[in-house]
Amino acid sequence: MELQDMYYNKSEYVETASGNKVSRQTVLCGSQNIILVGKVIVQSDAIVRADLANVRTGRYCIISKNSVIRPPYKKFSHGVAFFPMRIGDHVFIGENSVVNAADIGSYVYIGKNVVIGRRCILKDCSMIDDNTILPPETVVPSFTKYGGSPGLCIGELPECTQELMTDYTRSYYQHFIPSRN
Amino acid sequence: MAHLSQQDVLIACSCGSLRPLIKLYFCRHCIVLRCGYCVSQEVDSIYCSNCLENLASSEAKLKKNRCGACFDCPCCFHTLTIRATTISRINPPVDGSPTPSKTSVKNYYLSCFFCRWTSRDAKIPDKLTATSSNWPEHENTYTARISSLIEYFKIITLRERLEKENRMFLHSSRRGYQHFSEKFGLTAMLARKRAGLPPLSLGRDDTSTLPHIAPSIASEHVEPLPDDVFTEAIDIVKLTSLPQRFGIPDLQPELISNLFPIHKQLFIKRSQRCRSCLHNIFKPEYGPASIKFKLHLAAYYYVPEIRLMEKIKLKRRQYTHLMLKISNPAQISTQIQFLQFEDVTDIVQNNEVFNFEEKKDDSIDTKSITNLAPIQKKTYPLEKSRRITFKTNGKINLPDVIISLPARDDTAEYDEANDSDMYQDNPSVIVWRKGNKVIVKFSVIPNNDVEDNEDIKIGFIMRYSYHGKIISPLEQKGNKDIRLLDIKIFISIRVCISPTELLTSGNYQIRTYLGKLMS
Amino acid sequence: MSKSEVKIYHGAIVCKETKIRGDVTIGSMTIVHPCATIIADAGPIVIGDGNIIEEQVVIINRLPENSQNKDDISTLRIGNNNVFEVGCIVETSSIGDNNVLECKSYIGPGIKLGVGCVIGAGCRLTLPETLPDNTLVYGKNCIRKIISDKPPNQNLQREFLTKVLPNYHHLKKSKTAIMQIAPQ
Repeated sequence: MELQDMYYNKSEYVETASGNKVSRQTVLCGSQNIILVGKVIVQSDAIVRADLANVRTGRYCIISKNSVIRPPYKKFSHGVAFFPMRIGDHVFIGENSVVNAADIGSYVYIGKNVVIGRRCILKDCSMIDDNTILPPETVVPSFTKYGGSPGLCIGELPECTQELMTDYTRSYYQHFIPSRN
Repeated sequence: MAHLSQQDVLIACSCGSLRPLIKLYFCRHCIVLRCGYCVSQEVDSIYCSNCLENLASSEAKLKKNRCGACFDCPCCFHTLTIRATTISRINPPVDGSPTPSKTSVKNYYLSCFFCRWTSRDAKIPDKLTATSSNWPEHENTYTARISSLIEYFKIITLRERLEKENRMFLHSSRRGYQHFSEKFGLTAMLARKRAGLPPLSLGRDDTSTLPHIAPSIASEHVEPLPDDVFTEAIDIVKLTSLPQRFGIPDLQPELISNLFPIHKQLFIKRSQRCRSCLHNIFKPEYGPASIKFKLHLAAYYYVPEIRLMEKIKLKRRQYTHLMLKISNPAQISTQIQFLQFEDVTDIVQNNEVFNFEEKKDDSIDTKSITNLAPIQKKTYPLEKSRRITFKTNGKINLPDVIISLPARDDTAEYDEANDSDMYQDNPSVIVWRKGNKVIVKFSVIPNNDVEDNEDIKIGFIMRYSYHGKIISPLEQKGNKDIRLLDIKIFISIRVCISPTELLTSGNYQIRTYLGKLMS
Repeated sequence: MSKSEVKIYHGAIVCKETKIRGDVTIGSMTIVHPCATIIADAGPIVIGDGNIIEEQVVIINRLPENSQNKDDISTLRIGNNNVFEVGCIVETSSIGDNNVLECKSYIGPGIKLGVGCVIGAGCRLTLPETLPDNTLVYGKNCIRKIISDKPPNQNLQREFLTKVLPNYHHLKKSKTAIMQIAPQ
C-alpha cells in the first residue's frame, strides 16, 4: 500500500535549509550537540537528549511522536560516561519508542512502543518489531527481525530491504506535508 | 510496517506459490520468477550474530555450529555479557612486614542483563582474565558413544558410496569424479584406484576394519521415584521450563540451579541458485556486517511493481474505482498491458478457483547442464509446480490500453518538469504520471455472495515487455531480445481494519488521562 | 497549577520542563530529568534522597476511579536511591530504597516495593501485592525471581548528571525555607 499523505500544522513545524522538519513541540536538549544531516523529521513530543552526549542522524530519518533518543551510559571504575549516538541514513523510529542504542546503522526500522536497551548495536538493514524489549548490549545483525521480550531473532528480512527502507523513508518525507489551510 | 511486508499484492511464482514482489527472484537466464522455495539455498558464510566473526565451515562444524566465545543465557536466551567485579583479598602477613597487605583482584563472570542470571548461579568459578574463551564446558556423558557411532556410520557411508561408484564404473565410461564431495576423503582413494594401485586399507573387501560398536541394550531397570516425591511441595520458581530444558539437550536440567551457559548458535549468509539453469541469482558479500551483494537478481529490480494507492470502500453491486500505482524498476523502458485470466490460454477457470500448472520448461536438458563448469555439476531436484489456490471474490475491469513506462532514473526525483505531455495518455485511465511511475484507474466490483467485512480478492495478468539481453562480454552487442512476460497478480483489498491496528500501546490510557489533566 | 507546595531540598536537581502539581517533596541529591511528570492529586508525594527520575516518567498519586471520597488522603512515599527509567509509570503508594524501574514499566496502585527490586523493561504490574526485597520481574509474562546481585549503585551517574544538567537546563529552584536550612 502506498503511503497516504500526512498533514501537519505549518506553524508547528520548523523547516531548515537542509530540509529537516522539526516540530516545535519536541524537547531537544543540548541542541548544539544534535546534528541532523538533512531531510530528517522529528515529530511532536519526541525527546532527544543530546545534553548527555552528541547525537548524529543521517539523511531521511524519521523520529516519530513521543519517542526518546537517549545516548547510553557506561559505568567505569572511575566514573560514568555517556557515549555519543550515531544513527545512519533511512532510519525509522516508531511512536513511543525509547532508543538507548550506541549505534544504529542505515536502513533500520524500529517499530512502535519499543525499548532499545543501553549500548545496543543495530546493524544495517535490521528491523525491530513493535513492542519489543531489547535488553542492553544486544547486537542485531543485518537482515534480521527481532521481536519479543527479551528481543530475539524472529525472522529474516528480504534481500532488497535497503531499497524498501530507502523508498519508505523517502516517500514518508514526501507525504509529510503541511495542511492546506 | 505493513508498507514493508507488502501483503496486499501477491504474485504467482513460477512454482505456483504466492509471494509479495519483495520476496521473489527473477532468473535472467530462464526468464522466470523464482521464490525462496524453488531455488537452491547455499550456505555462503557462517558467522556469530553477537561478535560478528566469520568462521570457516570446517571450524563451525567442529564447534557444532556454535560460537566459541559468545553465550546465550540458559534462562531467557538473551546474550550473556562478561562482567567484572573487584574483590579485595587480604594476604597473610609475610615475614618482615607486620601488617597484612591488601590486594584487589578483578574477577570476571558471565551475566545476563535481562533476567540477571549469572554464571555464579551455575556455580561456575569466576575467571581472572576478561578473555571470552576458556569458560568451563560441561561434559556430555555420551560423547564417546556418539563419536563411535558417527565413526561407524561414516565407514558404512563410505562403503555404500564405493559400491555405487563401482556399479556406475562398470556401466558407464570414464567420468569425472570431482563431484564426490571431499567430505569422506574419497578423492585420493579413488585416484589410487583409477591408477591401478591397490586400494588403501578402507577397501570394500576388508570387513575386518569395521569398528565394533556395542548395540544399545534395553533395560527394564528404572530408577524408583524418591520417597519425598509426593510429600515435598514443588517450588515452581526453582524448576526449569520446557524451552529452558530443550536449550541444553544433553543435560536437560530440571532445576534452575543446574542450568549452564549455552554457546551461541551461529547465523549464516546464504546465496541462492536457480535449480534449472544453475546460475547464481543472489550472492552476498562475504563479511557479516556487509549489506552489499555481488549479484542480486531480485524481482524488485526487474518486474514492474504494483501498489494499492489507498484504502477503498467497496459497495455491493456497484463498481468502485481502484487506483494502482505501477512503477518500472528496470533500466530499460517497458510496455505494460493488462489481461483477464480467461484471455490467456493456459489458464483454466474453474469455479472461481484458478487452477493452472506451469508447463515444464523442457528447453533446459541435461546437455546444457554438462556444458557448465564442473563445480556446478550438481543435480537439484526441481520443485514440482503446484496449483495456485487463490479464491477470488470480486471482478476487476481492466483498461484496454498499452502503457509505456520509461526506465528508472534516480535523478528524476530532483527533476521538477512534468513529462506527462510526452505520452498521449487517456486521462480517464492514467490519472497521474511521473518518471517511471503511473497511477492507473481500474474498477472493481465484489461478487454478490460476499459477506460483510470480507476481504475482496481479485486477480489479473500483467503482460509486460522484458528486454532479455544479458549484458556480458561474450555476447554480441545489439541483438535485441524482447519478450512479453505474463505475471499473475493477486490483490486483496482489505475492507475491515485488521485487529493489530486497533491495538494501542499499553501506557496509552494513562497518557490520555494525563493529557486531560494537564490541559 | 499550584507550584507553591513543591518542596525541593538542597542539592536536588529538578529541570524546569518537569510537570509537578500538588504537594510534592523532592529530597536532596535527587535528579529529575526534563519532561517527567509528578502529580499529587489524592495526597502528598514524598520522594527521598538520591533518586534518579528520567524523562517521560509519571509518578502519580491519584484517587481511585470508583472512590468518591475526597477526604481519603494517602501519601505516596518513595525511599532513597531509586532509579526510574524513561517512560515508567508509578501509581503505587510505597516504594522502598535502591529499586530500579526500567523503561516503560508500570506499577499499578497497591503494589508495594521493598528494597532492591528491579522491575524489568515493559513489565506491567497491576494487581495489588507486596514484592519481597530483591525481587526481579522480567519478561513478557512478568516472571519473578529473587536475585543475588544488588542493583548497581547509581552514585557515579548521579554525580555526572549533577555536573552536566545545570549546563543545559534551567532548574526549578528550591523554596527559600528549605534553602536556609540546608547549606551549612
